[in-house]
Amino acid sequence: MIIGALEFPPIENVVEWPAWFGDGTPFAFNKIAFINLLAALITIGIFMVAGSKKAVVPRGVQNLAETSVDFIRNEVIAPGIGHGGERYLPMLLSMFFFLFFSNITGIIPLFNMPATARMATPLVLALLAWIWFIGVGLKHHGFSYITGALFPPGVPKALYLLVTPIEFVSTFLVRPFSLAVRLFANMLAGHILLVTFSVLCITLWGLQPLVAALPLSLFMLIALTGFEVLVAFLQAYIFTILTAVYIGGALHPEH
Amino acid sequence: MLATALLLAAETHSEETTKTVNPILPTGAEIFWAVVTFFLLWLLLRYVFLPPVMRVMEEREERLREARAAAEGATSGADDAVAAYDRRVNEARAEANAIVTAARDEVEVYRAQKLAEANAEVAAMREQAAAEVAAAKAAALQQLRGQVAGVAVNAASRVVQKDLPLDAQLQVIEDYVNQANGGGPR
Repeated sequence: MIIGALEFPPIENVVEWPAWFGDGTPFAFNKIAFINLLAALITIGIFMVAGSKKAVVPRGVQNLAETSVDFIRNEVIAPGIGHGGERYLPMLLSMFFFLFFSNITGIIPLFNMPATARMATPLVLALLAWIWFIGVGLKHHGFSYITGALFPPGVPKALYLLVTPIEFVSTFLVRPFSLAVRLFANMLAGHILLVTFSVLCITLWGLQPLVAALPLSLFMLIALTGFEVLVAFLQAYIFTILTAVYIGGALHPEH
Repeated sequence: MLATALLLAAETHSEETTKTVNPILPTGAEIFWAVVTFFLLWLLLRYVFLPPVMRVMEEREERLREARAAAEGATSGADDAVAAYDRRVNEARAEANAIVTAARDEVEVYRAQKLAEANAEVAAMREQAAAEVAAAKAAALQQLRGQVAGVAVNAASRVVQKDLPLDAQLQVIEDYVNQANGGGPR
């Protein structure tokens, strides 16, 4: 796509990645799959190294792993689930690390693409969160979890005509959709912004009269790269804590 | 940063595709790998790699709890020792006060006793002195009475030109004085 002197890449080039192997099969392995695999392997590596150390005063990787566990415990499970939330630590910890490493590759040279800027990863994790919180509600409260969610106590019966469809849509349909879209849209927008300013920098470098504008574009590129670090962490945290809140709501619906 | 930009540009220019791709819809293969990699991570973390980390953290927590309990025990022991010391100091202070009070009482009793003895001695001396004064006064009076009677008999003998019997006259004078002292006519 050419706008004036700038040649922006078509959206397919920004988000679609050719298969490295297995092309045309349901197991086609491309850059997105590689980033997912890498996110899992890095997380496993961190906890494998941390688990082999038993220092009283944790340092390095052990410190990182233990701090992460404390972070998920104190900042995600405690406010999101509360009592009885400790059993969900492995899932929420996996989710946070998997998302963070899938996000952060958007600013790592040679990767330059967050896996979450494709819908697959957010969708899989959002569906998992959806299945998980409904499963928790059914396991702990039986079918009354569904009826309690659709027919909130204390509401005049006539209002159920209005409230029940809203609760059904917001609790059982919108939640996974909003989880997935929030993450996907944020990461794709960040990725497109970085591509845009990168292309702008390169184009300005080649246009002699306009090269004076290059520092401004480069500054924006650097600033947005820093911002994307924050976004990578924040989106992983938001996704994880919302999952915890949904699980907490299913576990303690009275709250 | 520039390398990143160049790489992005290279990727941008490298593929000129003609097919239309929906950037929102995921591909089946990406979903497959997302499921496989996440569940791999979750299961390995849940059953293999997270438990040792949690164990180390729990052991440290336990050690901290024990150390804290020991510190609290030591603090409590120190508090008990301080309380016992204070109790002993208070007991010693009370004992000292009791000793001082007893000594003061004893001194007071002794002083009162000595004072009473001194007062009794003074009273006895005063009585003895008064008795001596009274005896001396009686003797002097007796002596004076005899001399006065003698002078009076002598004077009477000169007046009557006759020797009066001294003993009889003295008896008369004596009777008169006694009568005067007894409230009779003077």
